[in-house]
Amino acid sequence: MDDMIQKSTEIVRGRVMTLGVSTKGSILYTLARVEVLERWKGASAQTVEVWIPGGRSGNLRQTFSGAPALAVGSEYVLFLWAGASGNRQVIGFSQGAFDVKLDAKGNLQVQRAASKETMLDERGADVGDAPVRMSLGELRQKLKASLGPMQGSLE
Amino acid sequence: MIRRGLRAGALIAALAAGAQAYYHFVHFVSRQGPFTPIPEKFDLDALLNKTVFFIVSETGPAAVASGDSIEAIGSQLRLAAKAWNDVATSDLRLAFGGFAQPGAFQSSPVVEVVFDEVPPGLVAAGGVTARGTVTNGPNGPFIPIQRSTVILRRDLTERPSWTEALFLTMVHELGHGLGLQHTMTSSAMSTEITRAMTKASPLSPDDVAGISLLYPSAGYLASTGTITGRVAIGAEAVNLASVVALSPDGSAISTLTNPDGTFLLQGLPPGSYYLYAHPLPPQLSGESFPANITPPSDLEGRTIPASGAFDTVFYPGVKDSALATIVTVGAGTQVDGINFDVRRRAAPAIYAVQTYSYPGSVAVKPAVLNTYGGRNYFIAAGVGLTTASGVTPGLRMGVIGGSAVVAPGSIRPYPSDARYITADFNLAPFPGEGSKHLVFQSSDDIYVLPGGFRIVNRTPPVITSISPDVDQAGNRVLRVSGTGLMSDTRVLFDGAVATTRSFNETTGLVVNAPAAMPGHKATVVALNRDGQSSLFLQGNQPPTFDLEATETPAFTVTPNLLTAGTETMVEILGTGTNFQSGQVALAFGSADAVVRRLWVTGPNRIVANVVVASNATQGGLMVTVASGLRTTGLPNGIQVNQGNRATIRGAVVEAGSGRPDVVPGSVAQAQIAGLGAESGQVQATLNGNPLQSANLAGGVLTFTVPTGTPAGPAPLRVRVNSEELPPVAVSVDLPPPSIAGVFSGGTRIDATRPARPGEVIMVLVAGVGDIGGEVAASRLKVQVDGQSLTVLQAGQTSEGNYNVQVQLDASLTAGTHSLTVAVDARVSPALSLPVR
Repeated sequence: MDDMIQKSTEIVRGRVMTLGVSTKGSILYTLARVEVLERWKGASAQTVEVWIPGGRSGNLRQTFSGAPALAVGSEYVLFLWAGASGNRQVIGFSQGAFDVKLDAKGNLQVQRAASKETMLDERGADVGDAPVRMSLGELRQKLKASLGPMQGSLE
Repeated sequence: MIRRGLRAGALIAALAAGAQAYYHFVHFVSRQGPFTPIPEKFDLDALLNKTVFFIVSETGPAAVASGDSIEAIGSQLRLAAKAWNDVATSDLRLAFGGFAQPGAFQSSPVVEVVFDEVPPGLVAAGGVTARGTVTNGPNGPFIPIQRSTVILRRDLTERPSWTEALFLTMVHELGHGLGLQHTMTSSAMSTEITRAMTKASPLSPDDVAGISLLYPSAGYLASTGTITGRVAIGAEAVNLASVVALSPDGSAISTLTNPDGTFLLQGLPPGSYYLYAHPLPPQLSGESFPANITPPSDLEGRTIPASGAFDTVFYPGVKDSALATIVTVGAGTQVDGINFDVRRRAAPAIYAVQTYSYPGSVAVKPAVLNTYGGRNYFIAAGVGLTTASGVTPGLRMGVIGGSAVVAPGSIRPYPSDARYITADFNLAPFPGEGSKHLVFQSSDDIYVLPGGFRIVNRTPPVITSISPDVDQAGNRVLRVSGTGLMSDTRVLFDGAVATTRSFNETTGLVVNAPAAMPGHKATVVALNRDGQSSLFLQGNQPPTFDLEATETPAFTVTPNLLTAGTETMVEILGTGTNFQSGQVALAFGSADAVVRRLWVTGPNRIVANVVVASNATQGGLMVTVASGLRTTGLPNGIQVNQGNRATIRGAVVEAGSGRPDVVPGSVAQAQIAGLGAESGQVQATLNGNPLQSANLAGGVLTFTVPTGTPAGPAPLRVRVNSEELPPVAVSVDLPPPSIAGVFSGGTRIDATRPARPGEVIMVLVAGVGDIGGEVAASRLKVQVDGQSLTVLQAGQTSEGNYNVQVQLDASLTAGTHSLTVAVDARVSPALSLPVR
């Protein structure tokens, strides 16, 4: 996760408000508009738009194996990355999307199983990816420790 | 249990109607059934030469790794495509289609490769991006793929092109583009974690079955077996349970169950198999579906999700492979009733396991254990193998097939990272090379990892030097020296395979270097047939070599104006090109303008018949000639215009046989399309010689090939009434060879001295023509009953005939068999070969 924290251009907790579609060349992208509930990294903004390859427009349906699926109304912690185009994408596809859910005691938990799509380190070698399950508080502490007090803008 | 090929013809027809094993992108007519899969696949009938082209966006990678090049990346992409193209049991061919100019529109089916922003943690993505509607084909209904897209990372500074990982990712994503989904068999189409393929051996039997079942070649289904059954939890059918057939020799072929729990596991080479059923791994947060497998959907697009998890079991419902029933299938036979009654559980206890070993300082995946001594332990990581306090209590491991055992008590945490475990292996005497299957057992569940490790008998190859030299004929060659090199070691210069000239145990390989642009520094990698490569030991710093090239190639194209809906002979004249037959690709960056056939007539000349689709977009296309590591492009090299011209459609063939190569003196035929009438006044020339015999009737042009027409492409120019058709090249060939005799140890094989199964025989072939004293085995094909035999040796006799040495199959039955010899595409008449 440390590597993901460092490579993210934004880290937010947010709720998916709408899903739309856009094209880039011949490729459809699903655009998830996410209301930011909490932000740890990146410039301040109340909403972010996340680009996900694949989607549906009329009769045209495009699927890319491993592309994340975000559901309207669901809450996630998202590790986002934007390249030169400025389009935000989820790091490592599903690797950078964590479910946020209430546990039996009513505490917010973030969780994600081990990722299974192509995950390589800088040298092209495999990265062992571990499942993640922790309280939102623990994640906040981890992010704070990793990013330092000046980077995050906690709610 | 085995129902031997009853009503073989009817059985094959039945299989073809509902063909499914492996797992493709599947649809059903409705969610209530019937559950006859309708897969997404390319329509071979809509493809010229059954070839789908992958077209690369002209906007290539923005940045590459230090010392890397765009040519190197392109060559790796072509090598990855070749892996799929070379599957003999699949009719689909996959070829390089050039570079698409910006704004190019493809109306014909295509795989497009684009370089775009891809977030960290990911290298590529691929999938089907445009489909047609349900179409009936010879193998049943299907949904034609109109376009697939592979997105590769635009910034490849951290992804050197020569790595195993990037290459296998290319193979994987292209596989998605051809219609294959993820599989759980450690194959190329498995996700990165469990993928157990290598650059030297990129496709598994499951990958081969997957592509072959989607695009089966003639006889494929009849040459393999089928197992059917059902997976259920009590009375409840399990949808998308993975059912795997494991061969003790290392192969694994799988399928997924239908919504009614039934499965049809096809494409099994004759043999014996362990069968097991297991659930898909849990769906990740943010993941569209478990294992990123798109579940089946009805024709409205409503998906039928995977059922929940259950205990993994071997057939017939046991967790110990030693207690499993082994199922045997034969060619063209079907075994029914392999039913699994499984027990529901919340989630699998163990999944997503990957193994590593360290032959040197580089981690190799999957783990390699060797019989020559050394480090026979491996490292494994996966969900359920460890807990916060160490190895999961009660964890056990076993190896299917008896090739090795896990040393008792040796499973322990990996010292430098407690998330990993390590274990020692004791190899059995003569364990056999190849992939081996692992079974992990927790207190109440098992996890099977097909191809969990690989046994090898030799050290990985190592390249110690590459040096230029000159052979006896004065040709420039390269000497590649090192350790672990073999006569059939393939030497890669980036993604181009060097042609091996000779091998010596002491001095290594002599190879012809691939063509390259001036100043090209190639990374050199050796690949051995046991799946090992020099990257196993030299992965941190593979050797490089500056390929010699003094002249930047250039070429012209004539004509440079082609009309949509026509076929035209195009001539490429180059300077500094050094074209070599069999190593050149000519492409136009569009699936709407493709080469039907190409001839290299000299180092600076290519002739090709180019087909332009009737709905091709008007405008300029980039002409690309690729050879080895050299890719030369000519932007707007041809222009496509709209028109309404009559044209020769399809190859000019020999009348009667339909062969696409015509022999002087024979009658040839060509289909003419686009004429107002089906007959008319014809004037035609072939190779400049008037064709007095030319006749047009029923839209078919018939003519006699003049004697004395030299072998090679001969321009055919036709004028009908006042309309001149675009010229096409006719392939003029020598007459087919003939078998003059078959011998064993100097004795002629005939009815009084029949051949024996397994015997080495010498086939004397006449009429080959002068193809040189040293004949490349790849130019000769000897077949018995349609099955190819490996050519052991071939050479020219003093009379100008050729001797070809082959070994008959040991399982050949007594009786008379059909023997043929082919020289390139020329096939001899069959000779009856008696076998006792």
